[in-house]
Amino acid sequence: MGLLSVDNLIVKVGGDKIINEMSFSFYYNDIVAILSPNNCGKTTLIKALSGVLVANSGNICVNDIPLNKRNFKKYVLNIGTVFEDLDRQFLCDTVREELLFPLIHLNFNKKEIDKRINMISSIVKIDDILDKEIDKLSNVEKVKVLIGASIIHFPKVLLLDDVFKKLRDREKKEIFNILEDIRKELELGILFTTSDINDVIGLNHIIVLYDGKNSLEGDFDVLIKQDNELSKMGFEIPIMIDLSRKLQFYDLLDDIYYDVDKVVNKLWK
Amino acid sequence: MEIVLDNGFSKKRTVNFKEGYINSIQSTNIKKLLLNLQKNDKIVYINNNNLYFAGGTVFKEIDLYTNSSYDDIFLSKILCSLELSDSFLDKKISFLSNTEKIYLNIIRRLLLSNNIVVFDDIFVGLDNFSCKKIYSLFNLLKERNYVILITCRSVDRLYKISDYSLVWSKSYFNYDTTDNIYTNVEALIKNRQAVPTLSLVTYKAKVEKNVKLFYSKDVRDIIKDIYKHV
Repeated sequence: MGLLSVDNLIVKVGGDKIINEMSFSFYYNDIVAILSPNNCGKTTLIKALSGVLVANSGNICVNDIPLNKRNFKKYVLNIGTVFEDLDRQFLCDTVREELLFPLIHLNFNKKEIDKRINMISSIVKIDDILDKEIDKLSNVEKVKVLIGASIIHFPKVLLLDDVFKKLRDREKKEIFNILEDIRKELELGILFTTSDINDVIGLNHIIVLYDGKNSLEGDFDVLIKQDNELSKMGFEIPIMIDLSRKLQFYDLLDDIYYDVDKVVNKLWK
Repeated sequence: MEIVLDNGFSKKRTVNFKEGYINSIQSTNIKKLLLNLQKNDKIVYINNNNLYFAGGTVFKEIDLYTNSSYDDIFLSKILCSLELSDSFLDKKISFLSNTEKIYLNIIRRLLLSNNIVVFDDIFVGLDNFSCKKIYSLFNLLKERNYVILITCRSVDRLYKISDYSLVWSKSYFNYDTTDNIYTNVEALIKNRQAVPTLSLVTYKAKVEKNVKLFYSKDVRDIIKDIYKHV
């Protein structure tokens, strides 16, 4: 059994079946991307996995703990979640208070609180903004703080719902580097959702959520070979990938290139 | 339509933006420029941040936001462009997806009766199908002679969808047709401005390999051209 297992999950919202018999699992130290077009259930899935929405049927298990009424508290302690709307998730006035809040409510002692705040703020690279007011944070700082607050109780799984979309490419890279550090330091599994193919380039485990279920699954190289299918689903194929794939089709290129210079040099040696 | 622009970096500029067209803006210090545009009460500013609604249904939200004063026919046409049926109006806000919330925000803002609209990075988080619906909405606004101003983090998208473009940096200011702006690659590079990917391919093919490709906005078009030259 994986670290997080989802089996035949069905979730309805307002009578509509948004997640329809979805099954997947992942393991410790995995970073998994749920790639999905708009209105296909990314947020609904994250809400169900985090325990915010009750599934209509199916099973969700984290670290061998099934999500049900009896195990609810145990289950949610194994989960950390950052939702899409960054601004609505802050509870306190400063970054330090935001990290402190969950620890106080979980009855940690002062020594442990200080230790965790130091450790987590260092991993998510917010140690220099601990006293900054939440209102003054940039989007990338907000993402870092929310990730920090969601892992400070050392969950086994971190769920991120479309948190990259307001970030610039450089900021996304920064967050991906932090996620790598979190994975190594805390040995947890990370699952994030996105509708942008650029966010999943190079990943080993990508699940395409379409029509309420996983319609494609694999690493990036496998996935991008289905570019026509992805395009039909509504995904925008990044322009360099689109160009490379079409040139590959006409035997003009041998691989996908992300750099214009490389394409030009390959085409006209 | 003359609009004064202030990016807080260079001296203020007045630009006569074309009515009935999509005008893109690429500028140094664009946040400041947009902030100043928001202060102009003749301009409707739309982005995807702070999507707060009063609750209830979509219809109630629109009614409340516009003070019950909006053009029914225009509302129907907007819904049609976004491929939303009338039943969308009866939907509860709490059941809306994030994309539907973006649509609702656009709808309620457009129903305010100003005809200069800034769409600030509106495509963030939208897939291809949703973007196409927004393009269709732009066509509706063009028919109604709106001044459409757009900003976007993807210069490829600006090149593809806008009719006129403004590029403004410390030492460069140019407002012209999008084709003229984004095929003048040398000027963009010299002034450290983003260059559309396909324009860059054409430019490098010519400068570095002496291959003369046409400037294209579509990958399929440039492929056909490349095929003739390899």
